Amino acid sequence: MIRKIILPTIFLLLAYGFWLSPDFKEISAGVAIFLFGMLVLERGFKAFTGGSLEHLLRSTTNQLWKSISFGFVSTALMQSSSLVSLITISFLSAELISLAAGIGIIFGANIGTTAGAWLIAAFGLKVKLSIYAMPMLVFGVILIFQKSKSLSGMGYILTALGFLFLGIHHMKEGFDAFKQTLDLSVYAVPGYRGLFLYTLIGLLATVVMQSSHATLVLILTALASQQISYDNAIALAIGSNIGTTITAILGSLSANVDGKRLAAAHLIFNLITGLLTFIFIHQLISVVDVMSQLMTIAPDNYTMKLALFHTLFNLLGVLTLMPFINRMVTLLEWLFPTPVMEVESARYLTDASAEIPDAAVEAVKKETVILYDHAVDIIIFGLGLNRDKLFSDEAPDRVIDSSSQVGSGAIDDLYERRIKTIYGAIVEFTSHVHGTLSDRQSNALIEQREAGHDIIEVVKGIKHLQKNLAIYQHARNSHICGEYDQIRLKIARILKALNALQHADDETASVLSLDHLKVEISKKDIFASGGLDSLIRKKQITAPMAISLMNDTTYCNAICRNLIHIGERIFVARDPDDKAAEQSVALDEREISEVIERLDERKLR
Amino acid sequence: MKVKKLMAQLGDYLNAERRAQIAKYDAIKKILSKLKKKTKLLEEQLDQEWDEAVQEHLKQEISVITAQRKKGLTILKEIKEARKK
Repeated sequence: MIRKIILPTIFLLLAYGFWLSPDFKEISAGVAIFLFGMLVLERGFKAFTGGSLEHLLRSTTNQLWKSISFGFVSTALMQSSSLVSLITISFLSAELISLAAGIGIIFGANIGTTAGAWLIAAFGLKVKLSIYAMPMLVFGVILIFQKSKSLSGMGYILTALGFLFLGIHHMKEGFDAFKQTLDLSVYAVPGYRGLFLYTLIGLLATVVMQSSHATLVLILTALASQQISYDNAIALAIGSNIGTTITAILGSLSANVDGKRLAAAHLIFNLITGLLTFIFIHQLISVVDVMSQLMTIAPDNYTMKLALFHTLFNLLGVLTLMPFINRMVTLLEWLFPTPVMEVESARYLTDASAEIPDAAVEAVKKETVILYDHAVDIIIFGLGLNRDKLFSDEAPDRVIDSSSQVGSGAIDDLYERRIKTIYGAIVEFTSHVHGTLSDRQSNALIEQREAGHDIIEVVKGIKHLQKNLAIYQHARNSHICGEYDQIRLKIARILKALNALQHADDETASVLSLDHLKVEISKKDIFASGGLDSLIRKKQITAPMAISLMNDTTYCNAICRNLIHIGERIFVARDPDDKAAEQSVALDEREISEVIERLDERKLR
Repeated sequence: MKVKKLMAQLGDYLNAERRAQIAKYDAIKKILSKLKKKTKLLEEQLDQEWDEAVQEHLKQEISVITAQRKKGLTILKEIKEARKK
């Protein structure tokens, strides 16, 4: 009910305000244009999140100081701590970065966000920004229509800056004109009462506008036209800093447990920083005065002093809390424990990971690898093998010799508990990924979905294979027993090769090694080599045994082919160029046949 | 001459298709050097191996890599020719 009333009430109040004062209309339009600029800016930077961002995040967040620097630099450049928070939550949900690194980025972002205040205080309020805004908008819009994604992204950024400048210009003009009709400074509240009241106003303004940057610009323009006092402006800045946490909390509602932990860390940081500022407010103001003198900032240049204060109190928060990041991680892990699941469900496929295409692709990749790991467990169980031995240095044939009795049943139950739900989540997630996906990103999603389908087929194949394996594994007829061991050996070799590829750290490892497996499978085909005919002809196996062997060989070949397809999709190079190169160098079916022919010819010679 | 080279580089940067071609060329070159390293490694293993079955396995792997390298070199040649045009 209340929700339904809020929006019309705000509209009515604004409309009444516009009717009452054209200056208020200009200030509000300035805020609206500025906020629209922020939206366009986010869109522009998102265009550059196609691959390199993931790499950058990985290489710049392995140490705390690097995480803080990344947060600082990216926020200072993008001028949006909300976007940085959103990207961090997305990447954290996809476990591309650790929680400690995420907290570091958020700390850095809090300092980075103060760069905007410096720019506006130093240049924005002195220069007529609208002069620069117009050409920026024109050039920006032309660039937006360009085919190249990076040029179009640059167009969005340029247009956004045009809107931001235009917004600031209108806010400034509005406040200047407003002063002639109504002096808001008479409502200034001194002392702690004013500090609390204006902190609350700053908090509410930021919650409504969902941008601490916009609030700060509003504060700076109002302060420049002396509509608010310096003390009250400080309180508003503190309030806006706390209010910005709301964006992170809203973003984390759809995130997994890591996203929630990060939002809580953001809240803790801003609350403690706010509290510290309240306690040391007079000392901080004195430090600002001293530093202003050292930096040759005029005593009455309150906008610059406010920018300095904003930076100092965020720096105070970071320096105070930096030594406690690991303790914060422990506390947050205790407050938000990782849920334990009876039935395996998707870990990375959250709404937060769906926000950024790169994080979405990475989340699906990770989930598919988990699905593959579950399938490997099921295959190992179905073939009666020992996981540790299979993936050790022991030769696969010896692993088969020392294997245990193949069990019966249970695969259906394992499929229900460990495969079905995750695959269902992958299919659903890939259909709902937000934002504009590049061709590369949508192809990557399709590939992962196909890999998931292959995994399902493999598990189904193992289920069929398991029945006869259990019967013939220890049969009196050594021939059929040997043939079923060959089937197990064939699959075991592929699992071993894929495991080596999955955990490889040497630089020569690549999915191209799977081509060799394709050759091996074709060469060891019991149908093509005439082995099956020979067994029947020599009456070494009975007709029912032959039928079972024929069926199960077909299942085995399908399992092997699917496993190789899965490997080609999920263990492929991370870099898109390397991936494309690997795919173009990989041999196709005709080329594989040619290699086999050459090998056979060499053997005959 | 320098200006001409700079202009060519600028042209390469602005032409998305050409940029993709250069990236592909570099990536394939990287893979080919990887494959060359692997071939050497396998040949060394083959020299020291006495078990015939393992020898056969290694020979097979070397043949596959040789075919992949041949394919890669053909692609590199095609890209070079396309760039010349």
